[in-house]
Order: sequence, then C-alpha cells, then structure tokens
Amino acid sequence: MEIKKVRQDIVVMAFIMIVSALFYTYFIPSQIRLSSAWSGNTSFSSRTFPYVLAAGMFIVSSIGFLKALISYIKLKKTAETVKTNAQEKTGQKILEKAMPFIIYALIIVYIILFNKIGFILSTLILTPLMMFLLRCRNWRYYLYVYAFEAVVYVIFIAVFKIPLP
Amino acid sequence: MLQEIVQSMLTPINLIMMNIGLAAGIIIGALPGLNVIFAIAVLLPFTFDLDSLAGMYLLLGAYCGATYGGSISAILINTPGTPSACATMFDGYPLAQKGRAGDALRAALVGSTFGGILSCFALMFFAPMIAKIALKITSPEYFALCVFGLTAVIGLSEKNVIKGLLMGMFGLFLSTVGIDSQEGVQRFMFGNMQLLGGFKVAVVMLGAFALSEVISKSREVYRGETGNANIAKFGKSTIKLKDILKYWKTMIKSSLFGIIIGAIPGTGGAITAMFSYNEARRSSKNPEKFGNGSIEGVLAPETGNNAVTGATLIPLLTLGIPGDACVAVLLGALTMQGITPGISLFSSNSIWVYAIMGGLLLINVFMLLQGHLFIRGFVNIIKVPVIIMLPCIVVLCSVGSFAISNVMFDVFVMAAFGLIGYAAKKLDFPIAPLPIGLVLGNLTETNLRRSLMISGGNPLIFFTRPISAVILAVSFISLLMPYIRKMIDKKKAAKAQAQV
Repeated sequence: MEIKKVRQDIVVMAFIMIVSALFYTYFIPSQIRLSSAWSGNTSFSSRTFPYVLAAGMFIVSSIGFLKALISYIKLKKTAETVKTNAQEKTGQKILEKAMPFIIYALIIVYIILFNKIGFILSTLILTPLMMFLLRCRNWRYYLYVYAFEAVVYVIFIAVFKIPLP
Repeated sequence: MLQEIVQSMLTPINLIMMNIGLAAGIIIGALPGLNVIFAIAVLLPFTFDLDSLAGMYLLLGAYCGATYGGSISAILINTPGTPSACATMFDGYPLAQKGRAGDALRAALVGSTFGGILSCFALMFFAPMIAKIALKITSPEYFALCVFGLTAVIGLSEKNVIKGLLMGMFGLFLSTVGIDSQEGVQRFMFGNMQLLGGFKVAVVMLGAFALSEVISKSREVYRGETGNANIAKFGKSTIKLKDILKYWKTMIKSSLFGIIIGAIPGTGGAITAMFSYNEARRSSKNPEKFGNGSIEGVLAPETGNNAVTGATLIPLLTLGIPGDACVAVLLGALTMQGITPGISLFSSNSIWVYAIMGGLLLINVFMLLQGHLFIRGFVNIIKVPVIIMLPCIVVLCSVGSFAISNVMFDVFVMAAFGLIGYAAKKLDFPIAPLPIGLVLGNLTETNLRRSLMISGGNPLIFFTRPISAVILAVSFISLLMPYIRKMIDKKKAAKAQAQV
C-alpha cells in the first residue's frame, strides 16, 4: 500500500514538474502580452509573479519527486519478496471503485441538461438516477430529496429572484 | 453610534439569518465527515442576494454552529463531526456510554457559548488596536504577512508540507487568471472572456469543498458504510449549570488559549481543543477521571475550539488576511459583497465592522438558546442517511454557482474544481492552502510589486526592514515546523530506547 502511494507521488510530482515547466516556457509568454506602457519601465511586469510561481512550483515538485524516488528505492529494498495473493476483482468491486467517476459523470450530465432542458426537468431526472445508482431503494428518501429541491427552487426563484434556466 | 450599531444589527432579517446559519451549521457540523468549511461553502450561495450584514451573519452563524455541532457526533457516536471536536470525544463518548449524553452535550454547549462570547470581546478589544498598528504597515511588511498567512496554513499539513506548498502556489496561480489590475493586461484567459474577472472564490470553494465531498462519499454510500450503528442513547441532561460553572478556571484558561492561538494564522480549533484538553488534564485535581467520562474533559476542548471563532476574525478584519480556510471563505463572501477587509474598514465603515462584532456576540447567545431548546432535534440529524444529502448537495452547488453571475460557465468551473478537490483528497494534498492562496493572491502580488518598485527591483528590501524580515523568518520556521517536530520526536525516541 505504502509503495503504491509513493509510486503515485512520483507520477504526480513529475506531472506538476512538466506542467510548471510548460507554463514557464510556453504559456506565460504566450498568454500574457506585456503592456507597451509598462514594459521596460519597471522591474515587475504582469509576467513576473506567474514566473515566480511557476519556478517555485517546479522547484518544490522537483524536491517532492526526489523525496518520493528515494522513499521508493528504500521501500523496494525492504519490501518482502513473498507475493500476496492478488485481491479477487469481482464485478461488484470494480463498480465500487468506479463509483466516484460514475457519479461525477452523472453530475456533468446534470449540468449539461441543467443548461439545455432547465433546472426542473434535469433535477427531476438526474437526482433519482444518482440515488438509484447508489443503491437507494427507500422511496421515502426520494421524496425527501424532491422536497429539498423544491425548497431550493422556491428560495432562489421567489425569494432571491434569480432566473434559473 | 452605539444606537446605530444596535439598530443595524437587530433587523428581523439579520436575526433570522443568524438563527438559520446557526441551525444549518449545527446540523452540518454534527454530520461526521462534513466540516466547518463545508457548512460555510454550502451556505455561500444564499448570501449573494442578501445585504452584506445579513449575509455575513448567516455565514458567521454557520461558522459558530458547525464548530459546536461537531461535538454532538463526537459525544454520541465517538466520531468527531469536525476535526476540532476530536478532543471532545475522549470524555464525551465515555459519558454517553454511562447514560450521561445529555450532560456531556450540555457541558459542550455551555463551554462553546462561553468560549465564543469571550472570543467576541477579544475581537472587540483587540481589532481596533491592531487596525491602528496596521496603519503603519507598508508594502514589504504586508507582503511578508501574506506569506506568513499562507505558510502558517501549509505548515499545518504535517507530513505533507511539500504538497501543501504546491496547493498554496496553485491557489496563488489561480489568482493571476483574468485582467491584471495594475497593468490591465489579460492573463491566462485562453480566449475565454468569462475569465475576465478571474476565478470566483465562491465557485472554487463550492467545487473543491462541497462537490468533492459528494464524489468521495459516493463510494462509501455504495458500499453501504454510512450508517451510524453505534449511536449512544440520548439521556436527558440532569447536570445543573452551577455544576458546570464550577470549572470556571478551566473555561477561562481554555478561552484564552483559543483567543491567542486562534488569532495566529494557520492554527485553528483542532489545535486549540487538544491544547486546552491537555492543559485541563494536567492542572486538574482529578486527572485520572480524564478519558473515563469527565465533564471538565468535555468543557475544556469545547470552550477552546469555540473561542477561536472570534479570534480568527482579528487578522481578517484588520489586515484582510484569513487565518484559516473557513475564514478564507468568509473573505471570499465579503469580497463578493464589495467589502474589502483591512484597515480601511475601521476608518470608513466602522458601523459595519462593529455590527459584525456585535452580531457574533448575539450569535453565541442564540447558540445557547438553540442548543438548549432543540438539542433532541439536532441529535436526530445524525440519523439522516448520507444518501439523501448527496443529491441535495449537487443541486445546491449547481444552483449556487449559477446564481453568482447567472452564467453556466461558473457551474462548469465548479464541477472542474470538484474533480480537482477529489483528486487532491485521493493524492493526500491538503485543500485548505488552495482558498488561502486564491484569496491572498492579489494582495500578495500587489504588495510584492509595490515593494520591488520602492526598492528599484531589489528583493533585499524584505530582509533589510526588521518587521518584514522577522515575519518572513517566522514563516520559514512555520514551514519547517513539521520537520523540526519529527526530528525532536526521533531524538526523544532514541533517548528512551537508550535508557531501556
């Protein structure tokens, strides 16, 4: 488990290193055009702070990368050679692992529908679907959620006068 | 002036908002896994169309309520609702097992109110004084203070200082998106005009704190792991107020700890509660009772953690620097209302700032009333299944982020930060430095720029001025603190082993 975490850290730190290097070399110059009125007049331009941050992130992530790498080598040396039986991967387990991503995909669909068909319809369809996916089989819970959503709708439409899609 | 302050505080809408915020805060705080930041972030959308005072009262109510609410689940199910209620568990749960849950809850309520009220007085007394001192602070010192605000929070990340630092820098980076206020130059907009004003703090908060919670909780819910099976029976309170108040020394001491620790950026309720608990045990006549169900053991941490609530507002209102992530959300709400915290607040808008302080005092009184009258209802909240909450949070986050500027783009940004928040949790990156970096970004950059302009581009200006040099040195030490602590622990362990 520990070794898996360390491996994860190596990948993440390497990713941050690459992204910060990309920002430093490409995105900052291309996305921030210096104002002609300011450039040259001061030691501090609109690019300075982002440059400092990108460089800082690169340095810090490099330290993190090296630290994780050293830990990985140490753990590899001390790791037991006896292999444990791989955990049986049943369909249920895979679904359980994927659940956060399924729910996230559902949230994205909800937001798209929220824009296309409006708040009421999208909420009526998507929230029970989410509860069903999460194995909610108590019909009363669905009613409670609908009641809450009705309250939110009334507050935003009638009280705050915010025109929801 | 006093009459004006009282008049502005006691309008029906303000009183209603204080109580709604409190009730929502207590409910959210009582639910294990949902913390104070979550409570404030979720209520944030409701403040957009409110008057600035009413909006702040709603959020301050949630802040105080959730801090107290964490004790309910700590006492009844041995799971702290919020991190600051960890120490309450040590004696709260044993008391509940002895059938004295009502007594423990009452002690927590009285302690929380006491700490909260004392903290308000500290805010009223110290804030104007610090504001006067702050008038003398110039750009290099301000920059150093911003760095301190950020590093203090990162230093709390314990074993994840590097990850905390990266999150803080990411927050600062996000603050650079949009139009640069000094030069009027577009930055990182990638051709999207919706990013002209930069990322909205409220949108980022809703995603990173609230929506990410939905995503990570979905797995537990699917596994059916969210039932609170071991809820201790709620026994009616039989303890008298005088039996609680006989520990007045502990309450005052814990309040002072809360005020002092809370005023330092990057600390917060969890540290204070633990500190107060240890000190109460150390100085108690019956230390053996601690851990086995001592009323004093519940009082000390609860008084301490609520005493933080007013104190954390001292650096926020006087310097515009948030002490922790909760206050960073409050700062975001203030900015959206067009209010810039800092010295100017005391000179130009003093009625508003004193109304906030008075309101906080009133909120603590209402907390005592609500806790006394509705405690049974709040206890039942723990039984609410998480499956009901998840879709409600999704709807609230979506509607809330849309309501900020009536554009769908904000809803997508919120969803993106939901994923970032979830990934951060999975990869052990602390989220708290992100909002602090985001809200401090502009202030940090402006003061860095001004300082370098004064010095003609020489960064030594920060080290040649004594105050900024000291603050920066403290910031550096606070970053190294987890490593220093680790070294001390190692040395201690080696010494102990050598003795054996």
